[in-house]
Amino acid sequence: MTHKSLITSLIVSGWLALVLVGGCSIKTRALLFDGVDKEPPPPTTRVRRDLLAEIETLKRDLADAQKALETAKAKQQVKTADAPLPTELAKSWVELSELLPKHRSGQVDWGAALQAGTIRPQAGLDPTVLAYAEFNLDITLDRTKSPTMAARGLSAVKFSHAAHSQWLICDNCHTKGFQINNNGTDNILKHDYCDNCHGTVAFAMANLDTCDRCHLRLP
Amino acid sequence: MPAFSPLLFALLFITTVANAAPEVMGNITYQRQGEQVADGTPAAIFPHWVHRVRYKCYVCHFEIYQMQAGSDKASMQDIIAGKSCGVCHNGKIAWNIKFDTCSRCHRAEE
Ligand code: HEC
Ligand code: HEC
Ligand code: HEC
Ligand code: HEC
Ligand code: HEC
Ligand code: HEC
Repeated sequence: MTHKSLITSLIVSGWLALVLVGGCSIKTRALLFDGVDKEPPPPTTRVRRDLLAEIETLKRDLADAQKALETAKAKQQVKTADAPLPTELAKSWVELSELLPKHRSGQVDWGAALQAGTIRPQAGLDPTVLAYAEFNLDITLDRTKSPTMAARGLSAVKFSHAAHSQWLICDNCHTKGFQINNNGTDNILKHDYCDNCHGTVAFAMANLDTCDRCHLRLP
Repeated sequence: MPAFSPLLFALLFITTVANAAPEVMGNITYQRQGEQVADGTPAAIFPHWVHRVRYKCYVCHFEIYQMQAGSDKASMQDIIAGKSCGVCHNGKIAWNIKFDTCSRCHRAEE
């Protein structure tokens, strides 16, 4: 049985009971209930006022929530109906890369493109899916004890969770994730962990202008 | 020779523009595996750039793909049945797989 029909049947049976009891003589009623005919004490005016006030605030809250829902719906409609961005119409990599901001090293700066709204990657197959919240945790990978790092005068490496959480979820790196290999192999461009993405899909360690995107200080 | 110079200029212009563009990152060439028959169809190429303009990495990783080239074992039949590329290339989310779209995926490396 649905909620509504349950409530209606309750109301109907309650009303029937009232009629039946009301039909009895005062004596029978007195038999059934103790002291029915004495006026029940009216709720004190203070309690009544509080209740009324509460009902009013609830009504107002409901109206507010409904309004918020309407505006959210309207916004979502506008978002999905938006015209495609120029970057979404680009037919080739050359065409696209001209539209995107570049880093000093000559590579596309995808983070800046995202910030500037040049691109707006969806968070799901459905365009209305909300993106995961940004995770603000900057850490410093300070393994300067590494003999190669020390020998070359390299300082610590900064890693910004905020920049990565715009694209990736925690699982991508942490559970099935890649293990940081810190065995200090003497290959200047061998960066076992970050290399899983940097150099394949994300910006590469292509030239010396890219080093300081990660290394705090260079020799 | 004068007839050639505009052409030469155009060529030079194109090559310099092409050189000015940063190297494309993340074009994954699917190598034929196992039972799959080649029958002269060029390998499929998955371009990350097309897709990352439209989707965050986590839309595909790891729900549809691992981050390891060659781990996706889908065959053309699986794709038409809605796996791998077929999750989106189904005519609803992105263009459908028809005879005039084969060459968008199956093309010689640029
Ligand atoms: C791009 C890969 C990547 C992603 C995505 C990522 N992390 Fe991390 N995370 C790292 C790396 C690298 C470290 C440093 C590990 C180390 O110090 O050995 C780290 C360290 C941490 C630490 C430990 C910090 C410390 O001071 O030791 C926490 C907590 C953490 N991550 C939480 C998260 C959460 C929560 C998310 C999802 C919102 C997330 N990470 C997403 C790569 C990532
Ligand atoms: C799972 C993939 C992945 C891994 C692993 C990863 N990155 Fe990234 N990183 C990205 C992506 C995607 C971007 C966005 C920019 C791009 O694609 O060029 C990015 C951007 C960055 C940026 C630029 C941030 C900005 O402000 O725009 C830095 C710096 C960076 N990564 C450092 C690191 C370091 C250091 C490590 C290793 C500890 C690492 N990344 C590992 C995917 C990854
Ligand atoms: C995507 C971020 C990133 C970029 C870009 C980058 N590095 Fe690194 N590099 C790292 C990380 C992370 C480590 C390991 C540091 C640690 O574990 O504390 C490292 C370590 C090193 C090491 C020590 C290697 C070892 O095995 O001990 C050298 C040498 C080095 N980097 C040189 C460079 C040079 C040169 C460039 C510019 C071409 C560069 N790096 C660009 C992230 C980066
Ligand atoms: C539309 C889906 C899609 C999106 C979005 C996507 N990828 Fe991929 N990615 C793939 C496919 C498909 C492969 C190839 C998998 C295979 O061959 O098994 C792949 C492979 C990879 C690989 C392995 C590359 C190699 O050479 O081994 C990395 C690393 C990667 N992706 C990182 C990223 C990062 C970082 C992002 C976000 C900037 C991203 N991907 C966004 C579909 C996607
Ligand atoms: C998350 C959804 C998604 C997945 C998964 C996906 N694609 Fe796409 N792909 C798209 C969208 C959206 C477009 C842009 C469609 C448009 O321009 O109308 C696109 C465009 C392309 C293009 C550009 C074609 C052109 O010339 O315009 C190629 C090539 C392509 N996809 C290949 C692949 C391959 C190969 C796979 C599987 C390995 C794949 N895609 C998986 C969503 C996806
Ligand atoms: C969305 C991208 C995409 C489109 C469109 C597409 N294919 Fe494929 N195709 C693939 C991928 C990915 C594979 C698996 C890797 C491989 O073998 O190259 C594949 C594999 C194949 C194979 C190898 C055998 C097999 O069954 O796996 C053949 C043959 C093939 N496709 C033919 C076609 C034909 C014909 C069309 C047009 C009707 C077409 N493909 C359209 C992505 C695509």
